[in-house]
Amino acid sequence: MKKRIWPKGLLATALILSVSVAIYAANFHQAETLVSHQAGLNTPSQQQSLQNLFVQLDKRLKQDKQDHEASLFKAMLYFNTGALQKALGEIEQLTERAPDFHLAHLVKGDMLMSRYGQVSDIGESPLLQNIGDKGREKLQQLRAEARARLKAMIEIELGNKVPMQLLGLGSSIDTAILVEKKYNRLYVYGRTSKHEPPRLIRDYYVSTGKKPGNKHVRGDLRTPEGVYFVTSWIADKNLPDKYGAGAFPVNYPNELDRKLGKTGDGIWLHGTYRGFYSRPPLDSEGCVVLPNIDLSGLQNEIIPGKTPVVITEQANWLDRAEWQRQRDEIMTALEQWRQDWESLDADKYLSHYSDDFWSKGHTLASWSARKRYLARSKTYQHIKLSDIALFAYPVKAQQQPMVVARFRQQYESNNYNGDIHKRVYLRKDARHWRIMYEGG
Amino acid sequence: MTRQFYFFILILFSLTSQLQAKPSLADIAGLIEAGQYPQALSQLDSLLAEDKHNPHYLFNRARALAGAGRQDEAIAQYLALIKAHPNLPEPYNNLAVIYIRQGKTEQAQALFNKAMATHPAYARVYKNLAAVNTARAQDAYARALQMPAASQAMGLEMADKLSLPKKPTPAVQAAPIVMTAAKPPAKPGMVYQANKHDADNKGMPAEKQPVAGVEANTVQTVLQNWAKAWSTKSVDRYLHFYSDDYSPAGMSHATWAAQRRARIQRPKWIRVTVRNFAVTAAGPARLRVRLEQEYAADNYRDVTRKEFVLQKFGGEWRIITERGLGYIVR
Repeated sequence: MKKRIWPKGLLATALILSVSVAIYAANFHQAETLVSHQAGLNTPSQQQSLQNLFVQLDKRLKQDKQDHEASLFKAMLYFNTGALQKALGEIEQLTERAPDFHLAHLVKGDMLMSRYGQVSDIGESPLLQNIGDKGREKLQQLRAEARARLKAMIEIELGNKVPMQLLGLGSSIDTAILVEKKYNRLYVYGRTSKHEPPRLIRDYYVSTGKKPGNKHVRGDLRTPEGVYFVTSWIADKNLPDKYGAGAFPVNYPNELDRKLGKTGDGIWLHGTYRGFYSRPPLDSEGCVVLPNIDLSGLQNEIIPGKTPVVITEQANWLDRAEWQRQRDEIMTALEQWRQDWESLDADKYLSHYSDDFWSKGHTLASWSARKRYLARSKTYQHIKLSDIALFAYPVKAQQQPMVVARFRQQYESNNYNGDIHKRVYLRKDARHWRIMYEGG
Repeated sequence: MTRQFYFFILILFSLTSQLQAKPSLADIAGLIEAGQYPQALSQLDSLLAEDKHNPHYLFNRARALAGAGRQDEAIAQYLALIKAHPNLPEPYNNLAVIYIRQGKTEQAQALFNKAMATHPAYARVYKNLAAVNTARAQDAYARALQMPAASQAMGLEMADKLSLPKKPTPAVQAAPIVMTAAKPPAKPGMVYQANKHDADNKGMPAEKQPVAGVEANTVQTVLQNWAKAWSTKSVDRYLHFYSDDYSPAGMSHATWAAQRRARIQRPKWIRVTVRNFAVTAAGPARLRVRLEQEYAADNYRDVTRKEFVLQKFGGEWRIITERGLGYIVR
């Protein structure tokens, strides 16, 4: 799936109705007439948008026939249009392919029972009246999962939009991961040509921390928001069952988290208990949990030590022009910093650093003193920046914008040469981007 | 008495001979019930030879065919019967059950609708269909919520007996599903924990004067060979890269060596590559080397920064300290 283009405005509202509610108002006895009477889906353009949904889902299934979510949606759409036999056919194939997909079994039960009365909500069946507390809890979890999946399908209108969080992958990062907690969605983006926005390769349903909000302290059951990188890979045979097909730890707490005094560790992308295809939307202790089949599919895309994982409550979707403008602004700021550094004018160079700057073992004062001392020992400096990747840091709307830049720095001078990758945090103070952290 | 007795024998004889010549429907039903479909079919064929339009014979033939697994023929037989006798309820009922078993629920449903339009007694079909679908729904719900399937939810088995047209199986009751606590997933402690390094990803000492020349090249080669020995799981060669009294973190050299031997032998394969060396002086006949190490095995991967101090013993550079400086992400 390259882009998903969902219908907008009123049409989207009609589809929310038709997909999430009216599906469950389907009654078999009226099935033949449902197509033209339901949720206002009776105009040619609305029929067309329904048709588009089928096309999108078929495309997803063609790209990956193990895209069980697409198959579930397809069955629900058939159900919605009154094609019960097709709906049951699709859901039966799905439950055979993915016997651990509990939500699919629930929907299948609803479809079978729809002949004998209205099914007003997922699992709202006379057969599920005496299922005890545990059963009710599980039912609520499956409903929450269904809503999260449907919400993402209906509300996310990507079109040509690209996430602000990924303002460029440089030349050595092939794949970047973006997690949008609000929609329980993980997006995999691939690098394109040098100046083009990254391209959406696929997106997945994921489970995140039991508690909503940003992680602060160990054990708070929240998924941290920030720019992280995968540090390693641990195979399933080295892990307890709950991690499923394997795990990719990320570097939480990162430099900024530690500066802010955040605690805890062990934030991983990992799989799911065997016997469970997926988990409820808010279910982990802070990790990002994928179905095993999806984690395995990503295994070759994720490179420990390289792959970025940006986790945010909600992504900021930009059109390409705005994406380019934001990227150019930061690239210009970096280039100015590079030039001023190269010029050996310590005042100009240090004007790029914020008052609360830190680096390992340094405050702005000690950093300034060191850099002034070094500048005096140089007769010339050549600094080349390349492979520049930029990630907008997830911040609250009222906070100053922040960006993590990761790049290759080739440094040459009369008395020292170096070639390293650096990570720099920039924050926009008033009108200027200033460096708040720099590390090798 | 004698006359009466002979009369009795005569009747008995005549009955028996009649039975042999013309089997009764009850007997054929018995054969079908007993699963003796070929016998039932051959007897039905002899009956149909004389009376080829008899609906009872045709109906039982369809049942026997279905029982024998000749579904297509059974369906054809039922369809022919429905065409000839559209007011008989049983063929609809049985055909619907075959369709249900084949997963053609919509066709079964259509059959039911047709039947309802012509004969109210076909409500029986509806009940059977409802029973089957309810049982299937119950099964689906049980799987969705990981509840044990209630015994009555195995209604699919009961539906297998629906092919008796005059003895419809009562509808499966929506029995309350008995809940048992879901089995908690096994949750042992972490079996494996990634090495706890100093989590800071600090760069090379940017402005420290590196050591150039032959010795710097030599220790790089030594560490390349160290990585090679590790990669090929040549433990003896690997251990020889360390000084004889190398003993990290309060461990004796022997304990450490034994632990390394066990750990290196555990994975199926290992690939260690080292790069980006920075060599600085660390005292007389000692060099400090910082490098990037990429470790990959069948069960673990990471990229870390490491610092070694090597000392020259005779003509040989050997490791006297080794420490991790954290993961590298770039």
